[in-house]
Amino acid sequence: MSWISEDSSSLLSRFCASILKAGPMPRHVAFIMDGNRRFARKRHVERHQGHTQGFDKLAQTLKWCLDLNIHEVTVYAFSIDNFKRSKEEVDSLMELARNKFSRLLEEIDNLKKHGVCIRVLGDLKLLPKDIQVLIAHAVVATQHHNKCFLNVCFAYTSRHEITNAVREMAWGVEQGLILPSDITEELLGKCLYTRHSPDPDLLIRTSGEVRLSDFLLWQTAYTCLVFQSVLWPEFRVWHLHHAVLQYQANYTAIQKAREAQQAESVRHEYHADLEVLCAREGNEDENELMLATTAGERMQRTQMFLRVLCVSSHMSLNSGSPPKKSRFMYVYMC
Amino acid sequence: MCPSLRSQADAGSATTCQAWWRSTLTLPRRPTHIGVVVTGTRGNRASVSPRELATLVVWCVAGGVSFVTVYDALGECSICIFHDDLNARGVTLLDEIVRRHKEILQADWSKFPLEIVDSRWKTSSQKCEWLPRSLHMRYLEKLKGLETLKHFLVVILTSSSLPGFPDPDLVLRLGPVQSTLGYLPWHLRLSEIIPMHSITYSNFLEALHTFAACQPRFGK
Repeated sequence: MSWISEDSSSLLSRFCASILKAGPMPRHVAFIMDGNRRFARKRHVERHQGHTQGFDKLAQTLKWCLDLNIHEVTVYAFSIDNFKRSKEEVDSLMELARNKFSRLLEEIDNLKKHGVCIRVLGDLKLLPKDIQVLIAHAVVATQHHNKCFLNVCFAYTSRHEITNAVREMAWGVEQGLILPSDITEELLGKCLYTRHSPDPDLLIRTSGEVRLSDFLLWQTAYTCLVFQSVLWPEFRVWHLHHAVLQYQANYTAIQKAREAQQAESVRHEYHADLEVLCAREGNEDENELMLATTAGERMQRTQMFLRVLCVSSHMSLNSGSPPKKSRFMYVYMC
Repeated sequence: MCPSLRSQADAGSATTCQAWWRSTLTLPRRPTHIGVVVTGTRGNRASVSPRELATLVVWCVAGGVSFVTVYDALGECSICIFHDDLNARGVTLLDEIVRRHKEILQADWSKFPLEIVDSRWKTSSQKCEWLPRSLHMRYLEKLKGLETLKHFLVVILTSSSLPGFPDPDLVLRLGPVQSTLGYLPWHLRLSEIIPMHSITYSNFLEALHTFAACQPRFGK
């Protein structure tokens, strides 16, 4: 099956979608697609068939999201912890990935038509080399598409992602690109794998589990969390609509909390700039002009640091060779 | 949950800490660290009063939980909790916990000592001796910020978790908002996030039973 389902939505679901769209809508939805194996047991089929059905459900869900004008979707496809599963299951999941990424390259025109940009987030060096190459080709082929975005977390855990980002910031300080006082929440966010995406507005986990399982821990701090008991291959458009309704019910309160947090971040940045200025000038005068200059210098440093990280990432992808160990290591070796 | 225990709890007749302790002993899995996340408001008031929060903390003590963190997500309770000057007017959560500790546990209160650590990662002056059944509580203010970042650096450099605390097994989400609103993002990796619509003992037991029924697979 294709990456985006071409089946037309029912009249009723399109009608309900139009009603939902009258209210606040999430721009970015994250899915923990849980329940494939339990579905396979329930239907008395092999596990790999459960995972295949799970992929087909992803394709349908992406279509439903497009119908709701949700233009960014992040999915938790494979965790680093999933390598603990049996060799047979891991191999079948890798084979499924091989097939689907190869299929993606075959239907590149369809993806171009929908303007779909595919990003794959994770520690890709843990994957077989041929899959790394397929992923690199898929990401490069769609990198200029900008109508909707599909982030596939593959060989991913959030703690690994955060640790990587903190190491990159530590490297930036070591290289003199940024000061320790330049490290802020916002900079950490821009060093994560998801730096090109806004934080998810809504996270849906299926199969009844009520934990995040090391998925987007930092990014979902102010996300509406919806846990549903349906198994992922049985997920229907009504489950998605119900989740969006819950997002709408929580919208005002979460927005208020997010704004308070952003105001707090601005306050922290102000005090950090003040400390730098005081250390430099040797006094504690809050000279507005000099503070603005200090803030401007901080922003220039962080922009330069982020450009260095971005360049190393692009060089790694466009060479057609497998991505390097991490951006941090690649730039260091150069 | 056992229907008779629920009716006992709702009727308010299960009042001894021993009875509560026994009711949780049969659970196959019990949390070591409970995170209490207070979200939302009811009208102009905080969605949870300090007295209700204090009662919940004491239930954790009676339920054999060793660590509790209380996260006041929207700062709505802050008028009553954790000023630098502990002599500030109004009831503080600390005072309320100490009061409810003795009210609820009655003759058994000394068997369940409390160690309360304030939000600046320093132990309080009333540090208790570490006992196997003692409860350690920490109150957190909007931890998703620079303090968290600095803590992350410490975590990565020293491979230690929340200083002295394990990661929360169970997060009780109080209030109407379906979000953790910035509570300990790094530490939430495997936490079961269970809503508690109102602070009643039957809801607390229900949450413990729901937690016990969860089966973490750790990726397998």
